Amino acid sequence: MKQPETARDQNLTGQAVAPNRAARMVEATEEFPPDAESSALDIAAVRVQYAQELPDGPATAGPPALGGTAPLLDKLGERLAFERAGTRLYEALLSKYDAYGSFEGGPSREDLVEMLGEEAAHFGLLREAIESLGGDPTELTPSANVQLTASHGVGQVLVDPATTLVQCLEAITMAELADNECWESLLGLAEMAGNSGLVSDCERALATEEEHLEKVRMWLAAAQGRPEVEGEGDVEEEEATDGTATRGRSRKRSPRQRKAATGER
Amino acid sequence: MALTWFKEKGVPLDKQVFTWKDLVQAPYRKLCDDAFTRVRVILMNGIESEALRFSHACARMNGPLQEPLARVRRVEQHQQTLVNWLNPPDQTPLETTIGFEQVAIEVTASLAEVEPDPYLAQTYRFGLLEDFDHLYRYSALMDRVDGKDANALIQGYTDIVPGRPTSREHRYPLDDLRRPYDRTRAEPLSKLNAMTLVAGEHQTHDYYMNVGPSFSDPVARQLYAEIASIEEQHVTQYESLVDPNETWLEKWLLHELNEVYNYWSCVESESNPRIKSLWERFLDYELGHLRFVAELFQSQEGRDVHELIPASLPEPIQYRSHRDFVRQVLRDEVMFSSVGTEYVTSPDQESDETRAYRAQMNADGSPTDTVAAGYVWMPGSEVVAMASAAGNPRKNGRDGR
Repeated sequence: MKQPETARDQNLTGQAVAPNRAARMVEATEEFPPDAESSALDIAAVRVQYAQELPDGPATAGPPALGGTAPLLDKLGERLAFERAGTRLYEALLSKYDAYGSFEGGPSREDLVEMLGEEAAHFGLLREAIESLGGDPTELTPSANVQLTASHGVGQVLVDPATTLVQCLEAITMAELADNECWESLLGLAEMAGNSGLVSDCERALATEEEHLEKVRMWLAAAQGRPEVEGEGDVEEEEATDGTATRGRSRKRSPRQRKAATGER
Repeated sequence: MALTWFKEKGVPLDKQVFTWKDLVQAPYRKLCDDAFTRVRVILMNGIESEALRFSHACARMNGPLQEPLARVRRVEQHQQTLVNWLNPPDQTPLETTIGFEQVAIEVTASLAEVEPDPYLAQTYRFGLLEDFDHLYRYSALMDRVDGKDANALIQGYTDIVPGRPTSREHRYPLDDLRRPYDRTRAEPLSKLNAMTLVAGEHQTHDYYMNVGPSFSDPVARQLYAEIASIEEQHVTQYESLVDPNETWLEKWLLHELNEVYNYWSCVESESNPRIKSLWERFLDYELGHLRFVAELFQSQEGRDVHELIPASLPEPIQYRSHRDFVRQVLRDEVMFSSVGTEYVTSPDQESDETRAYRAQMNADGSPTDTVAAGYVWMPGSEVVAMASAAGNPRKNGRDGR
């Protein structure tokens, strides 16, 4: 499927492709200097001004239509929206698998189908959780809206026919990292609310999302031909003789992941 | 090689067919295609957009022409779709905007260089310096808000420096109107050039009006609002160059001729073989449209089309860097303005109405000044200088802190 590399595959975006043209552009900046003084900070001033003048204030969680605890429902709504979108992301990943196939050490189709099902199950779990708290699972909460805006690019990468399976796994890593972080936050909120049922649900979901992240990391390591490191802290920052850190390959793990690794509860 | 349009058969109107899949082809590649492929795609989308705009206006004023207009318009709709959908999904609206301004600079420069009418040529050089400034402002936005180097799109063909400052481009509406060419005496090339620029600028205006609100940053939203206003001025300017006494059918015929001319210009310069074959296909379609309208023109107006349009097309539009020409215009004419339909060489000569209008619009500041305050384009973006100022973490071990 991949075309052989030709002159038409050359990346034309950098200066090195046409150094003479780049030199002439720099030459132009010397003859035609900026017509206004100051700096990029002028943009920041306008941002601040608009923020301070927002007629309705920032987009924080107001009271939900059906009552309930606003901050918790806002975050439940966020995870619900993300897991629903995540289901579609894995569908797109399956299309990518079907188009390009996998690679040695990469995911099987069954792996992806399983993860897709788990994302959908999390969505269902969250629907029930929101309803049990008297909330409306169809409401687009402020946190959900922000997270979907922030992760919009991940979906764009996954459905683009021109991206590879590996590139898509890299993109979905961003989603899985966010998922892990946010399930952990949600777990904390559930604990604060004293909702033991929701705490158990969050713990199970977080464990599954941790598996997702580990799998995606493992596939990417295989794709890049580097050894996947097992366990937290196996790769420590190397200390140079002068005592400064020269290499920082250690992966950050969440407190819960660390607990799991050490058997701590 | 010159194109003698009436010797070319083209594709008859009833053989011009599409499928939905055919309309949505693989886009050009943002990283690997030449910048002028993007330039051509953007301009041709504008040319087709103008075909539809004109066709609808004409249909509203001319009952008997509604049927033939509807037939041709449906094909133009699908041509525009296929062309516009060649823009790739990994190209953001701001990146496409950079492409729009490169179109406005390099195409306008190409037309200005060959325009035989001195007044029209002056008008093109005048507009050129304003769009040239827009590229600088949008590049500053891209660097300072998105953290990207606009030259990844421009590929070194076009300078990124201030032109006539956009904050000074705002003029009273009557100072944007121009004298039209005389339909009986103007060279065919003059008519084509004017139509090409009306099409390009109108599409640019519409694009900015559509994508402007999609930005989060308030300066970006303001910037699109300000530059869209100038694009509206440019449409007013270029549109008024076209003789309003041309008959409707004459205008339609000239539109089709211009589409032939533009697709042919693309065929002559395209570096991507797959995209080139699309230009060839649509050149054949447009030849079919031209033949169709020529017959209509001859039967309804009783005039020979050869009185109106040349047998051979002028030299094609030059899709290449016009750096030296643009710089010279910048040196010579950056201070120019206009009063009514005439150009003046200094802002001191501007009308009181323009001064008052500009002062009103800039009363809360000019977004184009804000976004580019002190901005000097450099390879790899302004952040290169920030990184230098932050120091080398390898040497100081402090990671910029």
